[in-house]
Amino acid sequence: MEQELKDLRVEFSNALASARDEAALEAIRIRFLGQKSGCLTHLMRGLGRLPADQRPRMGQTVNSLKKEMDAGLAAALAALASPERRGDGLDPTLPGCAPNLGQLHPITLVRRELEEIFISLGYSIEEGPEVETEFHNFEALNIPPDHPARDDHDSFYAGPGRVLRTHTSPVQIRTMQRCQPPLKFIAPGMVFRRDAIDPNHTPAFFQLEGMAVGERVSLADLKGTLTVFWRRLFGDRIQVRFRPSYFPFVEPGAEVDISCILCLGKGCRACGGSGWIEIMGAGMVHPAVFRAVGYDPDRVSGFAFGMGIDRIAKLKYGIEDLRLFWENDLRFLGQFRNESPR
Amino acid sequence: MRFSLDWLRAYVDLPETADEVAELLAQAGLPVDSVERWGADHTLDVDILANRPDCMCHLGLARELAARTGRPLRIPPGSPAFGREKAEDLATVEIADGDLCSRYTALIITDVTVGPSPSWIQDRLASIGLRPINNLVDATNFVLHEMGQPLHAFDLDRLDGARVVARRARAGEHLQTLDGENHSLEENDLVIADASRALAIAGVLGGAESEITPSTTRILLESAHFDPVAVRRTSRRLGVHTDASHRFERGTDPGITLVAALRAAALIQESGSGTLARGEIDVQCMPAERRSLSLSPARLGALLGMDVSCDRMAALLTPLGFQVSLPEPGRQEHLMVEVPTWRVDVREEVDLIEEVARMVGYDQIPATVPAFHSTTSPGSRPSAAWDRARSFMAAAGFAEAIHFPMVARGPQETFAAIVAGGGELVTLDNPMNRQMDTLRASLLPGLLDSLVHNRNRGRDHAQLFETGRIFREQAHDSGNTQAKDLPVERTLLAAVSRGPGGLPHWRRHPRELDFYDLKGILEGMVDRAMGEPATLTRPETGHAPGFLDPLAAAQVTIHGDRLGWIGRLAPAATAAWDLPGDILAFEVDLTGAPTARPRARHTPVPRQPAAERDLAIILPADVRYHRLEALLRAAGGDLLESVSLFDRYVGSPIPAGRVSLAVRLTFRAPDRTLTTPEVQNIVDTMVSSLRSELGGELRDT
Repeated sequence: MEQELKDLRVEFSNALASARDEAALEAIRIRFLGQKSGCLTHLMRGLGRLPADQRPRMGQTVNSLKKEMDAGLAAALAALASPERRGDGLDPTLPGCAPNLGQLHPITLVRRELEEIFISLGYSIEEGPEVETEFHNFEALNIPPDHPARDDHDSFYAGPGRVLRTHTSPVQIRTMQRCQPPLKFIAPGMVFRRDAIDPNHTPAFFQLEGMAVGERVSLADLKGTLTVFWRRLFGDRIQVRFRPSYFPFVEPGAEVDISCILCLGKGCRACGGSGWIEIMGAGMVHPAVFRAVGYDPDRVSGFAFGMGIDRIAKLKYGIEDLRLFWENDLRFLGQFRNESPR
Repeated sequence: MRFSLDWLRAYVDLPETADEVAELLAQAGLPVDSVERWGADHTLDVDILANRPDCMCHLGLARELAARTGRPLRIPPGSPAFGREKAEDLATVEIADGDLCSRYTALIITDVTVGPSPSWIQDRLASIGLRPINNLVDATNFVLHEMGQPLHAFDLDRLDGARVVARRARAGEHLQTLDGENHSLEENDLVIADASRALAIAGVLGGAESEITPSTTRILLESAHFDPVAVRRTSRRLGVHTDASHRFERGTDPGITLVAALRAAALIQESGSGTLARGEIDVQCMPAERRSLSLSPARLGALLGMDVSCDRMAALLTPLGFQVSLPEPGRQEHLMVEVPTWRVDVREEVDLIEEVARMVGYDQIPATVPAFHSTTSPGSRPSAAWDRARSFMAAAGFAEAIHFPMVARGPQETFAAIVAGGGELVTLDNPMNRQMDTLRASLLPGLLDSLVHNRNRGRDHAQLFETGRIFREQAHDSGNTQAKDLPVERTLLAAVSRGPGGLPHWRRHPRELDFYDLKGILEGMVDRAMGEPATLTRPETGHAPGFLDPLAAAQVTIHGDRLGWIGRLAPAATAAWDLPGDILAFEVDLTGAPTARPRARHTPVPRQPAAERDLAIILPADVRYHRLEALLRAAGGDLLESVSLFDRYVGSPIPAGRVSLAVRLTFRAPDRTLTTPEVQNIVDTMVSSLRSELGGELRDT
């Protein structure tokens, strides 16, 4: 009888699963629980014939199965009333009910992506103040007062000797002052130049600075590191090109181009037909910078580089107007909701 | 800077096309912004950085191209015919301030007829966008763009005492310049004067009174070397930037003054007039000497990551004008290199190493990756906590915004209440405009601006947040006049919510976020960032910050330290923004957040069943919920696993002044199944202390 009950239970749940409407449910009810010929009713009647010592236990089992069947039928009936179960009532094209998600700013998304790459290369992330001393922002970086390079750093001043940092490079100085070589770190952050607002200029923007200092750090190391970085970011087919350039705090200095991420070097509108995109400045740390922080340029060498986070975000997402980053228009921000935050 | 390709070809053979020449220049570190057709010629717009003033002329650029292509450089002729008169009889030159003027060369040209220059000179000038004026001015402009040496022609007959002095300006001295402006000069401005008055601002601009006129017949041609810093200071102070000042402030070649002046004289003579007095006047305070630097192949190899032989280095540097002495075999380990006077940028060994790398080509340098371990804990990131907070806010339905930290002062004075004991607001000396003259002390005004921006574009409801720095001066004792310390910078997270979180939907009409929604988000965010929960308390009457409605304001603390505020913004505070309706906001200081993510620790999942009891409790309305929960937990002890409030009701049939709260209590013992009488006992204790301590009772069911 025990086996019979088990079979009945399986049979019932199969029948229930295939029922598509109320009539089918009613048929199932009659088949298993009907007063006259229901299978379970039949079994219950047979209880009396069992030996007295088995009767209470089996009675309990049969009763609990009856309760289970009643509940199953009731639940199935209720489910039929819901649109999903009404067969023709389900419309999978009706708008779904999604949780209300926000999104991170594209600058944050790109910054985190860049950080992850450098962290995987053994770099730490360092920070510094946004209001800097002129010493950290200029002099220690081999840009003395009245140096023509200051023309490129039209600065906001906030009291005597205090400037809104015009680049993230002062973090180089602070980190070298605080730590001893060998060093590998990056410093992302907001920087400021007194530029009128237009599609290509905003008075605040974002940079990411990087530096490695050690006993025999070379220009070859800089080339290798940046090649690895740009390929991680934009794919293995990206070529990286170094051209001589000038920044007072590095020597030799370089301008770094990458092959256009859209045409991969063939030439298109985005790269002005050249196949290359000017993307960052870099170079070997100038001995004057080492001297400013008390390092001996005869014992250590190092490289430094700096890139614009806004610029990479522009490139990556095809944004043409920098001002969009600062307007916080939800129609703009919402376009980045599927960029996974790391 | 604009260059003519044909003009460059006058000094070096360049069979290459304009685009190929542009590529050669780019590889030399002289990128070409654009190439344009100019008749049969091409013009190149070359971006010459501040370190290469020697390339700010056609001959300099041609020298680079000659070196890169291995072709000879043709130096232009500069041999004018001399007359019989002696220059020193016609004029005298004195350098009074040798620190600002190291060399002053002057030629005297008589019998000049002012007229047009030869057409080839006019064409050259036109090709780089200069308007030909007359033979004298054109000759000086031509030499400027050929050799990079700025020249100036004075009308000798208008010089008092036929005398030229390079001296500092006198206090109160004025000068009307060629552009018609009247400048008042200061003591550190170098002027070129005659016996009585200033005639020109040295290296910047000539004066009107000694200007060449159509009737000029005798000229003094100045070719000098001025101190870069002095020229730059004067030029910036006066706001006058000229072709001459641009070059002088970057550093001109002190060795070329005479050569350039002779070249100009020869060009003037080509226009058919002019007698050059014999014996140039050449006053030198500091001889233009060639710097001598040593260059170690080992050092170069280490810095570039590539070895270059001594012979190769010599072969690369020589065409650029460097004189290289090779080490004697087996003796020295380095080269001695004499730097040409025009290479003001080459001052130490690394500068020579760059020259070698530049000539080798950066593309020839190998690529390696440094493998050492940094002493700055690799992988550490100070912003980690703020990024955890950001991700939480985004998941909670808020969009991340960013704003300029430069803001208008007014709103900051209303909203800046976050940092306890903060000093003055930080102001900018040279703001872009008055709406951006202060550094923010609160992120909220920026977020309100963005709510307005979105409202004006049809998005009336929005949830926004920002993480960023705020700035306050150090709180000093008053009267401190010493140089200011840097401001205190803190990193804050602020959020604003206006209206429902989401658009109406056929299944679900999102309701407006209320204080408790925002509180839950704040708590989750703080827990994520700080690794511990925040506590919210009502401020004492009169202690809520002005920007919050005192009826809906709470202070956010951790261990009694204030982190920030949450609440409904006071209508008076937001009156300046066109934002009708309620705005909920919070702003908290996350500066001290731990950078390491709090580690999760596993505790065994309970194996014993729980017992649940629901209690409906009526309390006086002024009893804060946290007192009820504390009471329940005290009575429940270790066996009370959780208290969860699932209903709160005010109104009939609950008597006025009372509130009905329904809580679900979950009891569990770690080692046994709790019995019904055991649980009932605890509940009874709870109910009795509820009556005695809080004046509460169970609601009849």
